[in-house]
Amino acid sequence: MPDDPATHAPPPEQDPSAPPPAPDVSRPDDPRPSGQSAATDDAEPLVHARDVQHLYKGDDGIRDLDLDVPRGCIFGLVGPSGSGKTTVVRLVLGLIRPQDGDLEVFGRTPADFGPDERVRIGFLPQESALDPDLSLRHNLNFMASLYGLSWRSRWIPGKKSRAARERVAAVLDLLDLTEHQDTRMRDASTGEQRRLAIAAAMVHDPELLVLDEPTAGIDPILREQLWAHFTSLRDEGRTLFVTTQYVTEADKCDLVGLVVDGEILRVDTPRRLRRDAFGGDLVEVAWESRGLDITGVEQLAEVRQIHQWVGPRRVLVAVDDANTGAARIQDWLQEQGEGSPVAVPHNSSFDDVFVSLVTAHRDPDGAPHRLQANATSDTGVSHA
Amino acid sequence: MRDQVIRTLAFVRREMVSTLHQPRLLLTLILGPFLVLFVFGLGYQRDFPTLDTVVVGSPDSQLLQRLNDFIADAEVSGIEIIGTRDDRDAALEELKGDTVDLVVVLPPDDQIGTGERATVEVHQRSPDPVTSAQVNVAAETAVAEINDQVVAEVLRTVQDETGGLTDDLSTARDQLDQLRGRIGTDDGATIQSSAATLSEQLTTLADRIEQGGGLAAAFGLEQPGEVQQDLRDAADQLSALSESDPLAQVDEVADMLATADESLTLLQDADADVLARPFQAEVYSFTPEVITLDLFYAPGLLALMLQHVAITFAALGLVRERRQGTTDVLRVSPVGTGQRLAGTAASHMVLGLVVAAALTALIIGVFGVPAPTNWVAFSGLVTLTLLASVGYGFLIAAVAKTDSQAVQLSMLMLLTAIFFSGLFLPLARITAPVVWVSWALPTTHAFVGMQELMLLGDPNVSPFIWIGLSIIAVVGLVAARLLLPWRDRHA
Repeated sequence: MPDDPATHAPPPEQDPSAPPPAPDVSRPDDPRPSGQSAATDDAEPLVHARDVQHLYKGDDGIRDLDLDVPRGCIFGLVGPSGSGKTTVVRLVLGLIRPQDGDLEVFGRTPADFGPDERVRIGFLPQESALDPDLSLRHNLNFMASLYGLSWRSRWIPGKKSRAARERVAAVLDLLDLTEHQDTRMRDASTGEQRRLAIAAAMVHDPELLVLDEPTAGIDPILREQLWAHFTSLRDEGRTLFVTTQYVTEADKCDLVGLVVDGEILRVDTPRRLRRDAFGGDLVEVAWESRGLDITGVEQLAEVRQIHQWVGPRRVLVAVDDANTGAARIQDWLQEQGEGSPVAVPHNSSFDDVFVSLVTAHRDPDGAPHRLQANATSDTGVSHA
Repeated sequence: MRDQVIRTLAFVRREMVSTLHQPRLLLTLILGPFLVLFVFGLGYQRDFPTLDTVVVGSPDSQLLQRLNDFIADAEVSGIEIIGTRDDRDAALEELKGDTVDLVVVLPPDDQIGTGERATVEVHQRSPDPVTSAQVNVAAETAVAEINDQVVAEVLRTVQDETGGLTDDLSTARDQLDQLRGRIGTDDGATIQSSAATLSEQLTTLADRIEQGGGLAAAFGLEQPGEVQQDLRDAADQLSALSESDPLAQVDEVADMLATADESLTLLQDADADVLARPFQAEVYSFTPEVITLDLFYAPGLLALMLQHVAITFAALGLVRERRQGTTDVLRVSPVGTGQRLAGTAASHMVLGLVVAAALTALIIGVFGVPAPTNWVAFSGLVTLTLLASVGYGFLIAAVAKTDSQAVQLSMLMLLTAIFFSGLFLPLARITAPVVWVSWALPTTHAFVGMQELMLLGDPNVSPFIWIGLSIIAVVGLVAARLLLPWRDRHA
């Protein structure tokens, strides 16, 4: 999901101890005026955490959690398995109480939630929480009933039970499960089971959907479908708190928190994280002339540095802004007599972004992470 | 309130639908216990197993003959004499070698009737306490019967031997009457002479009774001895008849002879068997019908299965939710622990009632167990038993961390119920405070209540049963309600 370049300037130097600024999560297709993000609809973030800590035996858990999740966005908590994502989820849901720090969801401490707050949350756990002996429809009916939607026979008349049945049918339809609604849970495919679990989390139309690894163990096609569902839910105004160990899925979020070793490294938009990882936006530059000295590009005001050689006549160049930088480099190459030069914004994978940020975090003085590519120039000289 | 009802009913419906989707499970629950009882009923042998017995004693021993007669006449089941042995030690070796089940050692005939009790030894080697008890009872019964037979026979012998004495005594009494009539008319010397003659006759009679009644005296019979003593006293009186007032002495002798005659007549007229066994037992049962062992066990098995099914389902249901991660979903949802427990309990109660109805119909229809005399009380008893058991099941779920722990604890409850509910041993044989373990089990209350309603035909169940079951249910459910959230948080 590309960001609107007009809304993002290079990040200023930050005091590491200061809480992260409220990110701008507006999207290009957002009908709202530029600069008016979903986060500004309600000044108070839906999830607010400061210095939250919850450690288990062996020092696992989460520490120094600072987090603000605005309403109406997809917040992605990205990190490897065992990094502390589920602990954050359990804190947000009120399943465990912070040992230290302040945590509020809906303006209240989650561990003190009553039924009024709980009915506003939908939760998808990592493991299936549904009854394997019930059909998909019966499972969904059961979950709906937990939230006050009457589970009654279709033969019993009544406005409320009819509304509940219609809601269940609508959610089944939304997740393409209508045809399989009478399949027993244990006989359903992995994808159907996962979709039903998501349906169960949203059947009562919650404001906040907490999805713990919703795409774990399912095929890429279904993963894409699910993210399309998440996006549409976000577009309807719901807030999604999603954890994933698929780093590439961070690109689909409006706001990303990187969790490593029980700490949140950064909370920001995907684009800003990418810029931080590589020292700016990346532009991929390719040319034909063997004699061109590409290092001259670094003299341009828009260019920060050549980030990496990725081929004999191909480099990645870090710029302040991908679009304006690419245009300026294209002009410069033509000025150097290149007939058909290429300079296009490069959208590196979030795997690289993640690895780069984690490497820098673990070893601030070490060599920067290199993207996967041939890093040798025509002259045979290796470029760092 | 409406939402709370909807949430509670959600659990009821989920469990019901889930169970209906597993018809095999339902069939197992109903047919399993029935088949156990059915196979037990088919294989159960009401008579005691026959014990192969050898008797140590002389083949021509009178006592051996009596023993054989007793076993044949009384149709003693369970004991079959397969032979006699001369050597006691050899017979005991056979017992040790498991070639025989029982060895009976008879006393030699010359030890009998010596004025001391002769001992019949009975040796058995069964590890089964029921068989041991059977042998003890059979031995006691056989010896008592032989004793009675001997006493009766002795009596008959005495009757035979004293049969002719009745006429002689009657003649003596006639002669005494004549003597009395002559006092005052005949001279003193004639009277004295006649009295001396009569005294000798009476002494002779006493001697004859003494000879015939010796055996009776050896077996403790008193009548011949009393008659003999009366006659000797009378003879003494006549031999020393007073010259001044003989009439009074003769009257006294007449009374003695009358008493002796009466005793002798009683002895002759008495039934020897009645004298030997003056009492007999007639046992009447107030139960509507004879309670056989399978009838006795049927309500017990029903009570046991109700407790086991309810505990297992309630415990495993909640623990399974924890394993599946459902607990987290439920904790995040607006469902309260109370609603969750109420819904789950109600579903297990409905399921348990279906199982109870089916099992009750089967044991009444197939085993002929009497139907409850009060169906309302029976239904209440089953319902309260299920509720108390579900409370225990929830408590197990609150204590157990895993499925296997829950299964182990459920099986432990089953084992406890088998031993302590009165099914295995009568409750009266379990002493306090251990008996409180029995009364802490729903099965015990249900078993006692069902015995009252089905086997004893009592229309009411003891209030103690209702109170006990209610206390178990309340304690179990409240404890589970308090402990379960803690366990869910620390799972």
